This record gives sequence, C-alpha cells and structure tokens, in this order.
Amino acid sequence: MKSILAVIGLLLSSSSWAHPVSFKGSLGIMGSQSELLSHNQINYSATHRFAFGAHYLRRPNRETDREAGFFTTNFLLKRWNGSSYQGNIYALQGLGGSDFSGRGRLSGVSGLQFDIEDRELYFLAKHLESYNGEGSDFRQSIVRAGVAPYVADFEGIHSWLILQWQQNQFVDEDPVRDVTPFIRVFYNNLLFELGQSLDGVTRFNYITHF
Amino acid sequence: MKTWMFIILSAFISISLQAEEAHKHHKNDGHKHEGSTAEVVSSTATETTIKVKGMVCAFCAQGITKNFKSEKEVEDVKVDLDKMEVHLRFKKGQKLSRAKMKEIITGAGFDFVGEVSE
Repeated sequence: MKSILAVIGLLLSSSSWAHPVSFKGSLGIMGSQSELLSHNQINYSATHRFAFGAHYLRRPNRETDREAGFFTTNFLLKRWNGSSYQGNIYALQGLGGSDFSGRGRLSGVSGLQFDIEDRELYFLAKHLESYNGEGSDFRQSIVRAGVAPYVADFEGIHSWLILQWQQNQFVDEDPVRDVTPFIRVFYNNLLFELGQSLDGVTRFNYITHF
Repeated sequence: MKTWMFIILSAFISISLQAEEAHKHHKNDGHKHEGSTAEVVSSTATETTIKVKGMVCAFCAQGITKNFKSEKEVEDVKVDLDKMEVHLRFKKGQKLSRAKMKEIITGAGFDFVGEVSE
C-alpha cells in the first residue's frame, strides 16, 4: 500500500528520461551505470502504445554480486500531444529471476512513469519495484527535471542540464538516496548523460533508438 | 575526479555554444528555403508540409522520418521541430493521400493537425 501511495505521489508531483515505448517497429536500447547499480534494457515497440523487452540489473562491487533479469511488457497508458509539449504515462510489468534477496528466486517487476517535456523543459518521475514470493526485494524511485540552455534542430546537437533525485532500496537494507546533476547530449538517435552525485558517485546513462 | 568533471563541463559549454550558433545559421538558411518550398508546393504539388502536435524531440522526429521514408512515394523528409512541421518531397508524379499521411503521424503516436496549405 505504501508503494502504491508512493507511486501516486510521484505521479501527482511530477518528463522523460527514457520512453520505454517508441514508434512502431523501433528498437530502443538504454541503460544507466554507476558503482551502485547498473540497469540495461532493450525494448521493441510493436505499436506506439506497446513494447516488449528485457531488463538486466546488476549490483556490482559487492562481495557477492546481486543481479536480476526480467522479460517485460511496456504500455503507453496515456499521451498528451500539445502544441509545444508532450506528456506520457507508461506502465511496465515483467517476470524473471532475481537474487537480490540472497538466493535466486522467480520474481516479478512493475513500474510506472510519468513524463512531460517541451523543447526547453523536462520533468520525469518513475517508480520501479521487483518482488518475489516473500515481498519486495528492490525498489527504485527517480524524480528528475531538466532545462535546455538552447533549442536545437532535429539534426543538431541538443544538450540539457538535469537534476535527479534517486532512491534505491534493496531488501533488508536502508534506502540509499542521492542527488545527481547530469549533463545530457542528444544527437540524432543517440543520447547520453554523465553526472556525479553530491556523494561522489559517477553515473552514466545512454539511450539509442533504431 | 573534479578535474575531469571540469573538463566535461567545459566541453559541454563549448558544444552548447557551437550548436546554438549552428542552429541560428540553419534557421536563417531555413527562412530562405521555406519561401522557395511554398512556391514549389503551389506550382508542382510535389512537396507538402504537415503540422504535427506533440513532436518535441529528436526521437519523435526520427520515428516520423523513418515511417515516411518507408513509403515508396516519398523521396525526402525534413522535420522542423521549431514549427512542429514535417516537410515531404514526393517522387515525380506521386503523392501520399491525406488519409495515409494522417495514419503515419497518428501511428507514430502524434496528432495530425493538417497540411499547412489547407
């Protein structure tokens, strides 16, 4: 119940780091890397409202690596096409396996994302949670806002400054929260972001679509 | 760590300034081009411009461009994100129907407003 309330809170308070569903026939590859967690995903959009894909999460630099993998379905639940903006709500569900709890288990994953952006401002909130037969073994909440210092053409280099708040919580551990300023560079079908959290954690994100 | 973050930030500012300058040049060139495009549309009807709602980023533009280019009637596609317009140039003697253009735009997830000349 607390998780549901948290998601609703994020939705109400809250654009887009990554659109898990894109144009029909597109293949999207995206990921985020840090010393705390790496999360990579690939999604194929069968329509502009539905995509299926796979996620792989790994928690490196521990005595024993913890990891999880899921096959997922992604839905565009709602889109607002404005004269100068676009807003979206996405949902994700999936099944796979996880050893975040210390031993390999059949696990499920679900997530919600809200984003809204124009060509100069951007806001996103999302929540992802994986769970096994005993309850949640990983939760991640992200809220981010961005501003573009200039407006670029489709064929130009577009850059953004982004501030992200993130909370990760693994089973039986306290939540880890941090704030990370990012620099984003967007060129054609390639986007990457580089940032360093206020706690000194370096983060790298990427997205590409074919 | 701070040193390379400073280098990255400097590179970012440099790229931003150069890209903004390139954008201004492109826009200036574009104004000249738009006039000539309008003339071509009215005289030969081998080009048209569509107004689209919701097209805010390069990924949006990429989807629309890819879908139109897969149509055999289309020779070239240009997206203007500033105006939220898609410029289509057709092969000689060919054109897409309004219904087909609308289908491609809505199928990519955007709202078809109409042809600019309508």
